Amino acid sequence: MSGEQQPPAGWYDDGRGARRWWSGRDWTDYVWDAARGEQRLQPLQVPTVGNTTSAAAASTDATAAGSGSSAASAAAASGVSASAAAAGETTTAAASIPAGSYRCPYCRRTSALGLRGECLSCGAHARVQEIVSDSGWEELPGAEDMAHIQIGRSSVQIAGDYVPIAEFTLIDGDAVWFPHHKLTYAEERVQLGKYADGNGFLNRARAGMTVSLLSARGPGRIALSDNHMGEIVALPIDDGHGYWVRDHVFLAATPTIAYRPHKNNLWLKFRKDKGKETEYEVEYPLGQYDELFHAQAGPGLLVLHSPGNTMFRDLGAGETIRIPPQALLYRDLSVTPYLVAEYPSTVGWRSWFTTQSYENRHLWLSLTGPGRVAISSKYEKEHAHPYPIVDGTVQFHRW
Amino acid sequence: MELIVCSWCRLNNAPDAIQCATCGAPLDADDKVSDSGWREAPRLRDMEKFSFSGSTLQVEGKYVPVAEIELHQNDRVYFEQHTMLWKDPHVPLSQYNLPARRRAHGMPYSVLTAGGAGRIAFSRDAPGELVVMPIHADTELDVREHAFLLASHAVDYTFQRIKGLANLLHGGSGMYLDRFFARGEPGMLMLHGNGDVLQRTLGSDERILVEPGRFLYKDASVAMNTFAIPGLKVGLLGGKIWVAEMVGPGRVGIQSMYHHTSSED
Repeated sequence: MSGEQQPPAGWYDDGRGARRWWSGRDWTDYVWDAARGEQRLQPLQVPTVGNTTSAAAASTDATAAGSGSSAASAAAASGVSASAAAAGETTTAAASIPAGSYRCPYCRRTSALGLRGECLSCGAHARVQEIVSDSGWEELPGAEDMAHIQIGRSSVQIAGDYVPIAEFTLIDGDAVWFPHHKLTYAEERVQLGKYADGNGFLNRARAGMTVSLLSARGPGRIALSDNHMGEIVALPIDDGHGYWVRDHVFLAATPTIAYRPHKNNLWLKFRKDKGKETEYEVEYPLGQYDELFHAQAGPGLLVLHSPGNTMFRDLGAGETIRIPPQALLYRDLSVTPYLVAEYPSTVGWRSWFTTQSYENRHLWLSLTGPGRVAISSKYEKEHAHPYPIVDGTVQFHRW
Repeated sequence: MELIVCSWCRLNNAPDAIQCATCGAPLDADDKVSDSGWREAPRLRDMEKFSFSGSTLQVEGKYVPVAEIELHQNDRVYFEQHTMLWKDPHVPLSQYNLPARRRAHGMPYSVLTAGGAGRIAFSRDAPGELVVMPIHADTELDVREHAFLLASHAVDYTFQRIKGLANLLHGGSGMYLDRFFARGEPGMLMLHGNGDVLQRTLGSDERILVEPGRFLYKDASVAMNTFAIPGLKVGLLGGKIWVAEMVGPGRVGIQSMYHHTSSED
């Protein structure tokens, strides 16, 4: 395998008059804007033929300076003086950049970049350009393979990209808590114990919440993962703030994050006609209890495993979007949810049956801003309920 | 020109090789090792080929990859019956002589042998990755039940029921440990790990606690013990949490996702 030495990650002259972030392997799209005192996105454009001489020279310089072939080729691709990069201009260049200068669009935090060019608050790669669909949904890349996330003096490293593992390195006294079945491995020196969240076993079981929560206290390493293909989404939370989170996606949290079950007021009442008897049943499409995570007594980190791919959008005040209830991954608490039952129009003899409110209906979760909502592409599909909705916190929309 | 040593299987390759001829690992990509020393198994690229004995194996797909083999006429591979995806009609099948009775999914456990010449393909039924584990002569590898996809005829196979371990969710109902041993000549073993696969080499007497459902494989030199986390009781009845204590020296492989298969005696 390659034992090449490459210039360490840092800010370097890209040979075009800009200081560009070198991830340690590749040039990124981030350049340092000295005038504005911040980073900005400027995609790297590979020069066309005609710059061969300088590229070759750069390659030669890089090799002579002991840098690896990737550095040389990256330098060659951009026409950069890689010798400058390899020569150790890094330290002074990097030192001149104030820490916490990168504004991450995914976790909305300002932080420093890691050695791989990742946001140290959430692990998403700074190189990733915003991928936004025409409708306004933006892909949330999740924490990438081998990315680091800093939690004070402790940290998390992500390993894998199908069913990624979050590997916590806890310093003495630091802790995380998590559902017991997310444990992957732990070093023996890590102190594992029961996490007391103030909710009894029966209360949690009745609410369908995670039954057993454990805590792990450093020093040592512990790794956690879920059981689906997907992405790890890290949400740094400021003191006093919180998120609503879908059932069963919670992977871990720092002790300053408190888990508070909150009775859900989104419900439906169905009428079941069984011969001459009629029964009524109440259902909670988002569960009987909301899972709310709040940062108390200081900021903290909430780590989720999002099944499938993750997308988010920031709703403006009064802006509304409809999604399947089970698709919601997390939302800001400023977003208002309610249920909508939508009935497509029908013609002919079937119309009488279908407009009587069952079978041919779609149940939506309507979300109104302001605030962020995130969805995941893999979720439990609603099983069409064969009974009419007769009551609930639901709006009816008939076509 | 120096030969390139594959960091996964430790065998030599030609100086200009971009993938290992023995295990298929990419030679032109950096190893991914976390700070704690877990190394990601090399991701076999879609349509990548490598040889074992006189046969050729090609990997197809990315999420639930398929292993497609062109068997040489003198070669045989064996595999669990339900992992067979397709085969040429003329490829003969025979029952592998198992050391004991065993059941899986409520059905009799069946291992078949396919002989060359001809093509045959295998896959499992969960997203994950294929991991090639060359078995050097006179060495043994212990593998979680239902994780092996195929093995070459040079590798002997047996299994052992171990009690008290399955995974945290399914409790201490036990599981089978499949054992692969190469006598005299090296052989090839291919595993399907659910999710991502990581490996760590433990030093002598070095210990690590692994959730039993994530355990994938270990060298025979690594001891695996059931271990109740001290002072920890969960659930209404105050049950213990059992994990697997792995004690070095040797390699331990884990998978990031478990896919529980019911196995019975």
